[in-house]
Amino acid sequence: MSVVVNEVRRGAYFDSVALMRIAQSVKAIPGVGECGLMMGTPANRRILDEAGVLAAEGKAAGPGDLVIAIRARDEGVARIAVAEARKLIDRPRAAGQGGPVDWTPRSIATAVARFPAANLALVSVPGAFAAAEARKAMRLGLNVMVFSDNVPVEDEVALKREAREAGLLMMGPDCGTAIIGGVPLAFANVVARGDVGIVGASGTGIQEVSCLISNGGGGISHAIGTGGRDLKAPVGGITTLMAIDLLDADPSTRHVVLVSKPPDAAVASAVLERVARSPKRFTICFLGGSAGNLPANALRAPTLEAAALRALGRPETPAAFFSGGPARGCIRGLFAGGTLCAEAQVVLREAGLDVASNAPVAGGAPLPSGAAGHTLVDLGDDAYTVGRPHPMIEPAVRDKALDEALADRSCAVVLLDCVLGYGSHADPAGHLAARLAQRATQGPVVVASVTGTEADPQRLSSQVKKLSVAGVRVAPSNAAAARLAVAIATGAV
Amino acid sequence: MSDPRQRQPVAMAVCGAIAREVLAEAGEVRVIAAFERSVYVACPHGIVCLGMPGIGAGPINAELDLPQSRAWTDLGVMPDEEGRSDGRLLGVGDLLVDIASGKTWHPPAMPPFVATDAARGLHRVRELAAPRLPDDGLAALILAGDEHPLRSAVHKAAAGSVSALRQTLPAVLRQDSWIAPALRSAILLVGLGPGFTPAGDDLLGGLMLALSAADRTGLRDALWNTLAPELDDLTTPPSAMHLSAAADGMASASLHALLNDMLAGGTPALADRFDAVARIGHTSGWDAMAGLVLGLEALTAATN
Repeated sequence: MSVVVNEVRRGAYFDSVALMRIAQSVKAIPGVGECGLMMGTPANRRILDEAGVLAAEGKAAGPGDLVIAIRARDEGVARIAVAEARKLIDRPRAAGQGGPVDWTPRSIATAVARFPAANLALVSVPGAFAAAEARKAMRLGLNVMVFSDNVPVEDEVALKREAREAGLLMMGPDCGTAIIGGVPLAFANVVARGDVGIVGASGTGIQEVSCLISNGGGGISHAIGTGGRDLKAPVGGITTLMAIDLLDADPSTRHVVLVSKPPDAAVASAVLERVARSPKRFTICFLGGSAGNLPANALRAPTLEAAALRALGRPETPAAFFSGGPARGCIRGLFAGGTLCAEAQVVLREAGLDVASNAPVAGGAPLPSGAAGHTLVDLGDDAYTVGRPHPMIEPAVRDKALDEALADRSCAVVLLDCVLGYGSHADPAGHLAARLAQRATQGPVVVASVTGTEADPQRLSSQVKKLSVAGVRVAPSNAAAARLAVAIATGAV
Repeated sequence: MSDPRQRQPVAMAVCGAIAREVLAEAGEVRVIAAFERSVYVACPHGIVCLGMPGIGAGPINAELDLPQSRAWTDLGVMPDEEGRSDGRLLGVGDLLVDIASGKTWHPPAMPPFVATDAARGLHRVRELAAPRLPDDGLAALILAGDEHPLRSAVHKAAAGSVSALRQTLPAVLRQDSWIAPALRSAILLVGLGPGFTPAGDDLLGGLMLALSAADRTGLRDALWNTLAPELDDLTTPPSAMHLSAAADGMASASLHALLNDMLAGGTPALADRFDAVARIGHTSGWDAMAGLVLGLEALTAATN
């Protein structure tokens, strides 16, 4: 007994010869008895009805809709026929004769037409236009990563709600890092594939954790960035919750690491409640805050380093805080990565040191007007990057502050980060080394960590070597560098 | 959305009179269809057809001053692409059009209708059409002999209405008012045909142009006033736009050229003008020509 299936495409216009060719191709499939493709005008619907190929969907079509009407031997053939019709209708048009062979799409719609297998769009336009572009991408069925910042929070909420309705992932706005299916996006590193998923409201947080896991012999299934505001009350953790759903459903993910600054209390509850319902193990790293009561399948990690070690199933390095001995001076931290600055603050506070920052963690102190005591500065903060590139892209942005710290007689340790990967400067260690070569022989010890892997364009070992040759004490992680800075500053080493 | 002021604008070589009016209104625009040489853009108060050089002038056409070899995809112009017009510049995809530029096209004046001249023109057209009738569209129902087999479902669906119109139009013309069977037949043809501009609409457009040529604008307007309120439900928006233009006595430059030649009794250039119309769309040109023939034959018969 034959089956009749209809599919209706709203507002799809084709010329009649194109429609007839598609109909002929579909009709040539064995088991297809009849196929008609016509605009859904009443006159045409009568024709399709008389031909016995009009079903309910076609009957409800309007004049501006394209009706694909098929009568087939059975359901299986009908499905094949509909798929073939869709393929022929959606086939991107070939470039016109004589068009430029190196044409690249200049809009999301043309890109989708040219690359129909794509399922993610990365939006990096001025903030005022980002929401509109993200929405266009979503309406074409794409998941979206919005690198742009300065997007109003109302737009972020609306976008994320729309994405959730559509079953699409909205990473960002202000999402600087993601790794999806092994592909690094925006500021991200080339890491090994593996079974640890990461959900992060923090770019350099994701970078540090993913690199430490990869360098430690593990690997990353996916690292999903949520944007810096996702865990704030107005947004309510929409993307974080969707990301957990996706990683739960992903067979290649065994363990999930959540990385962010401390969320709003209600959002934290909702997230932890969702974690509790997961069959997978979680490590929760809310830097500078307590994670509250964790469900049975989750463990707290106070630092990014600890989160990576837990995900690898390794014991954490005991905090090597040394006391005794006269303090040699203060620590001046100059960071390109905001989350690395936050992690260093956590380490210093854990060691009992008072520390001030322009981006203090919860309970931390803001920078004093006179730079006394230990200070850790996030040079990627908006206040430092207005009209200037980010220090991860242009390390020279850090030079002036570095020179001042090196000349500060009260400074015992200058603590730096060096972040590799796509999007970062081609040779950040080389720049630092050149700058440090000009410093006075007597002066503070320079301690640094390098966030990256051997597979990154800059090559981890090459960058570490350049710093070491320049007299920098390079630690294997940002947390370890902070611990070493504490040990030096307190006279333990 | 791109700021239209950031790109280099393309001028229009020629812009149809209706297109000019539609483009003058600022607002959001959207590409609703893209073909090899033209795209249809929905504007706040109508639809225009932006075309590559050589698409020909017409009331809703705007021929762009572009290199012939450009493809719409090169310009980032694809179906559903959204854009904006500020009344002077229209931006969509990577295309920015200076909509104040170019000559405005109006249809040429039509020679007066003289039945004997028209009859000679009709005869020439039938001679040219007979060996080349397409199987698709509705032209064969009018330009072939009565024995012409009904080859398609569209033919079969239209045959009764076309036959009824042929039989009743002379009476409509003599009475100078539409009779119900004729109007009913016309309505049944609206939206009939698979494609972007249904064959039935093209035929009715040709008929309205023929009525305009013979200065029977009262009948033309009465037909339009009957069809217009139903068009949203009966046919595609772009086709409704073409019908609206026909109701103002406007069609493509090619169809006007053929009509004027037929009204002149058929000049040596008629064959070229016939070919130009036959090349429009898949069968749109043929169907419009069939509508012209339907109307002019009825007018000739009514005069006699």
